[in-house]
Amino acid sequence: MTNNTTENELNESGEPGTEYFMETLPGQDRYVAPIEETPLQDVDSVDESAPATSMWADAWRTLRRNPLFIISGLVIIFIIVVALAPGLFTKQDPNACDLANSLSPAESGHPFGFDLQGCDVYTRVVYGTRTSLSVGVFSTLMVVLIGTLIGAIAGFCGGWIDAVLSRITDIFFALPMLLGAIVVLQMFKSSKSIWKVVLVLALFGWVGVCRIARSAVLEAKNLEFNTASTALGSTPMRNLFRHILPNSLAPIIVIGTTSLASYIVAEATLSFLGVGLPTTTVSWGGDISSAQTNLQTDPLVLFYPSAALAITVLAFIMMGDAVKDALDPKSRTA
Amino acid sequence: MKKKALAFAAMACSVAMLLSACGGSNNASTTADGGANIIYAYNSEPQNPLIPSNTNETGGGKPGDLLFSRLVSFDKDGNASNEVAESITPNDDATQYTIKLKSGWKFTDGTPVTAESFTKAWSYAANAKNAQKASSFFSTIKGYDDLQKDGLKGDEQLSGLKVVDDSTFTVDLNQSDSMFPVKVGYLAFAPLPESFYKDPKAFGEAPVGNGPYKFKSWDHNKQIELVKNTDYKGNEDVKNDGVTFKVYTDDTAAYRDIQSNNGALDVMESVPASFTKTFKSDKKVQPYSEAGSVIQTFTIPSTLEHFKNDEEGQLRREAISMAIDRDQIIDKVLNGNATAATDFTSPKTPGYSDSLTGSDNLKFNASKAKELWAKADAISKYTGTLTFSYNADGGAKPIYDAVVNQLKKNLGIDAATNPIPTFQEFRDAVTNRQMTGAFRTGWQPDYPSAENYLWQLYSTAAADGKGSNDGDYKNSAFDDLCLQAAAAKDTDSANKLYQQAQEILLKDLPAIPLYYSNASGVASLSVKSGFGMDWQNLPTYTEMSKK
Amino acid sequence: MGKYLLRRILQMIPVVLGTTLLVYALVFLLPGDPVKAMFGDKPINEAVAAQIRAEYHLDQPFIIQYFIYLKNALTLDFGNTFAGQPVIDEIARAFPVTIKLGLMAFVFEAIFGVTFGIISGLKKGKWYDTVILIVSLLLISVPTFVTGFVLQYLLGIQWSILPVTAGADPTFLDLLMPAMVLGSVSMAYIIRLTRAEISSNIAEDYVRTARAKGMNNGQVMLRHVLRNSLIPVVTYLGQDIGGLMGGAMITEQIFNIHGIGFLTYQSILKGEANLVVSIVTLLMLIFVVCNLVVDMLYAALDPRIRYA
Repeated sequence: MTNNTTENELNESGEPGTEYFMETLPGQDRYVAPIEETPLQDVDSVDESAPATSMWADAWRTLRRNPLFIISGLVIIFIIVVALAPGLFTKQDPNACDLANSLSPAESGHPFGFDLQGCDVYTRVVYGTRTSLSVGVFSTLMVVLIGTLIGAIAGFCGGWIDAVLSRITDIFFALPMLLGAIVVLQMFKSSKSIWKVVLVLALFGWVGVCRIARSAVLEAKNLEFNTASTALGSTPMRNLFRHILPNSLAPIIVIGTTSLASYIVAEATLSFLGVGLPTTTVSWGGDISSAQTNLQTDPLVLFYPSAALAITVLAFIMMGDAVKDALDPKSRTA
Repeated sequence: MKKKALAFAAMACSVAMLLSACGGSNNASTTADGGANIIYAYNSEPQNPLIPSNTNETGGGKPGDLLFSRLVSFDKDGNASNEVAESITPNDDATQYTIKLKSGWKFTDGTPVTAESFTKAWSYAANAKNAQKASSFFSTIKGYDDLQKDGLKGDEQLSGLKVVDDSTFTVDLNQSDSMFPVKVGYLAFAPLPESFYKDPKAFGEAPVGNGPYKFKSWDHNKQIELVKNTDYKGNEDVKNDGVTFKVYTDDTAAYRDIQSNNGALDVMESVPASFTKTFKSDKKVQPYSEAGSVIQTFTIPSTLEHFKNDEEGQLRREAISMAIDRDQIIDKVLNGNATAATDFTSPKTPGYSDSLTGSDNLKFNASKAKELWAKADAISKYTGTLTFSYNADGGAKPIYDAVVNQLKKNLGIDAATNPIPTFQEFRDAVTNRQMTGAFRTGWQPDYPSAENYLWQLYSTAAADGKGSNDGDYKNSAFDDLCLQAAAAKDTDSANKLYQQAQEILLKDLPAIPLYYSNASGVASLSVKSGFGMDWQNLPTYTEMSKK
Repeated sequence: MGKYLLRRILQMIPVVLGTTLLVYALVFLLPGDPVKAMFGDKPINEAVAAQIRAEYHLDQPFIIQYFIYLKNALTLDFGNTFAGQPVIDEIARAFPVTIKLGLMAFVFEAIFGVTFGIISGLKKGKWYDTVILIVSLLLISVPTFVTGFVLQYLLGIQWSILPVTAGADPTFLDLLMPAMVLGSVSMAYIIRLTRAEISSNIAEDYVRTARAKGMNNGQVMLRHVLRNSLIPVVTYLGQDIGGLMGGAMITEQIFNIHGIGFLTYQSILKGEANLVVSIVTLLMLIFVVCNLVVDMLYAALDPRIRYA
């Protein structure tokens, strides 16, 4: 033993005199620390005691903490309550109208005033919620479901399947909605349910979402995680539904929530033509289109149902944004 | 390469835009000229070639009226006076007329207007082979039925028309018709020049007439230009150099042009719904609104259960009529641009009276209405919803919403509107008698005569799909009075008889009159004089001047 | 690539046949009788009605009518309208205006939509992001007729900045206001779409990598983020330009523009089968071409997308 201790000798390996640590292993061109000695493992290790969470559960955790989501959620819940129980908010009948009150301004008990036919605008806005909300939401859901499914299949499969599906969308896109709606709705003329309107709106609306979904899938199909998951032995269908679709949802959610408003307005057009809902059905869209003749002199009659529509759409757009962000781990801020 | 493709696409876009913009600005020299005194008038694209007897809608009717002078013309109030005719003389029972023409009338191609110009044109119009839409106007002339058969060539003549000499012809009618001298003022009875028969198609694109104006050009979906006919020497005193009918997609757009006085448009004969409340006080336009000749009604078919032509049905019709507050609807929904109906014709119809016996049935009386309805219910109880159908493409929604609301409120019955998407589908349901409730009706007269409002709409002869009696109303007392009026010696006694006939209608209410649409319209501030509206609810085109 | 193009062009044949048949059937199924409607509420002369039906083959069964149309269409004769005008002339009159208006609206919505979308997406949560959100929301939920009505009143009548209506042979200036109204709703969609795409792409690894490599921010945006965000936007724009070529009934009506939208609307109301079918087929061909261009653009934007 010498006093001449080298640094090496101070090392815990306890094998003095060897040059072990300075040597590179065969095949290495530089020094690499053995895995046991790096602090990295703390970072890379997986907390195996934590419960396994799916993407959706993850998203939910993020959502719960997002104020955007909470606010929009509360607004939507409120709108749903109004839709389900309009009687809680007004005691009047939306179809009891007295022409003598035509276009009268707001007064006590009638906070929004009266429309051209002398109906109470507030009551009509409250009662219109159910029709407009359900037509808007169900149409959007159907459009998104059909459009995404067909678009995803077209984009994912490619080849002749893509060709056939895309050409079908071309035909549907060119069809004038007015023509199709009159003919299709004529077949269900006696039905009073909103489903026929939802059906027609979906029939002519899915094409737009379909093209967007197809493009998003085309884009996501080539991303690395897809290749990785295929390499790990995942089946194409599993890939599509587990990986590609969730990663393509952003543009679909945007278009879906944004077009909610257009379905609510389109219902009014169909009802105005007499092919939609019975004229006794109260809806925001219907009241907006009736109010247009008096836009110049009495804009408030148009304003209230439009505002209700705008608030609803805003809530859904915010909700959509929050969901979209939650689904996309990269854009998570927290 | 791919980037280039993108850039190229963007460039192609902007080049196309540039080109189209340049192309546009070259021919955009809009008429800000102070020189020509041309009136720009609102119109829709004619739905038929400009042949008088094939014109049955206003898009073609407006230019047609100015291009062709008929035997008689009507003044602003609908009074007839001879124009091309020197005289129209009936025989004793008004079944034959001898018509003498004034001399010196010419078509704008220089050829003279002769008796044959009329007889050949009328025969052409009546001949089914030629598929003229106004052909049924000639159905009272002898020989009409022979021209409705198969295997016609198209040039067969009406046997009831006989040319005596160049300026005289006679007309034999199937039945007495004291109104014939008024009827011949309708556009379909216009004379046609020889050149028409050589090529009707070309004529329809560039008509040659004898009216106060001469055809200049027709730019489809854009405009029809007419210029003053200097050879014209009829009843009209033309105060401008021409009328250009401009095609509009929408009356609101037209109103905006008149408001901005940008030279695009000078006059229109309707007021868009968004402006009915404000146009009379609008400083940017010249307004006009007075009682007009169009009557709006609704019909409850006589075949409808509980509304048949019996005691119960009559009670219910009267009840419904009295439960409608016409003045309130006119005031609130139409902003005063209509006049409550008091009869079945119009205030612009010769012989009109607002105090016929039974006109109380058209006055609002809620308590009496309830009483009558209860009486009817005592005969047979009414349950169910009374529907009111209208065509959704015609702007009738607010009216029928109001009618339904009033009936619900004033009569306590269940009522609902039933919009039908298109006019086409609506008329189909009416003519096929598929209506299961009340439906919108109305009448715009072809010529100013009570006969046109009454016989065509409520006579037994016009029922069952043979005419415009859409509710299939049948009452022999009414028919008799109309026939007597048709055989009457002079118009005054005829009008008395028509009034009596109307009193029957006021009791039976085959249709329920609502209101007379006002003749309302606006002119631009450039129009210096002569703006008014005539018995057809059309602007007085000939009298307007920008100087 | 050439093979792919050829295949796409060949695919048009069944699509054209399918579309014409479908649309012809729909017009045929429209309730009501167009010939009866020609007489308005005046008495119908059955002999005359029969003549007109025979002239337009309306007395034939549906499938015969369709084949007559198809046969004549092969010789570029698309029939006449009920007003006696050749269908092809009607379309030739209406289409140029619609193309002009559509392109202007397209440029308007593409430029402003993408620009505001990028601003919004880059600065998520900032006050101008909120302002842009609210404005685009307003555009979406206020019906076109209101936007048109208000703009027409303010810009046209009150301040006299722009022409009130377009009329026949409109100029660039005449169409400026209608193009803004027409493009506004799509612009709102594009803003939302671009914003969503930008904000999700900006967090991607390659952006961090590019920044780490010392690339300046502008270049990162242009070369990476924008390019990767554009696929859904281009798709939307591609189908929108097709839609714009179909004309816009409400905008055309408000501004007195005699374009395809108004023509289609009127011919549907009148049951003009020949006109409706011809317009729809033409539009469908435009969609097919637009979609083809969009598909080509995908490959340009994302080199991994290949067509063979």
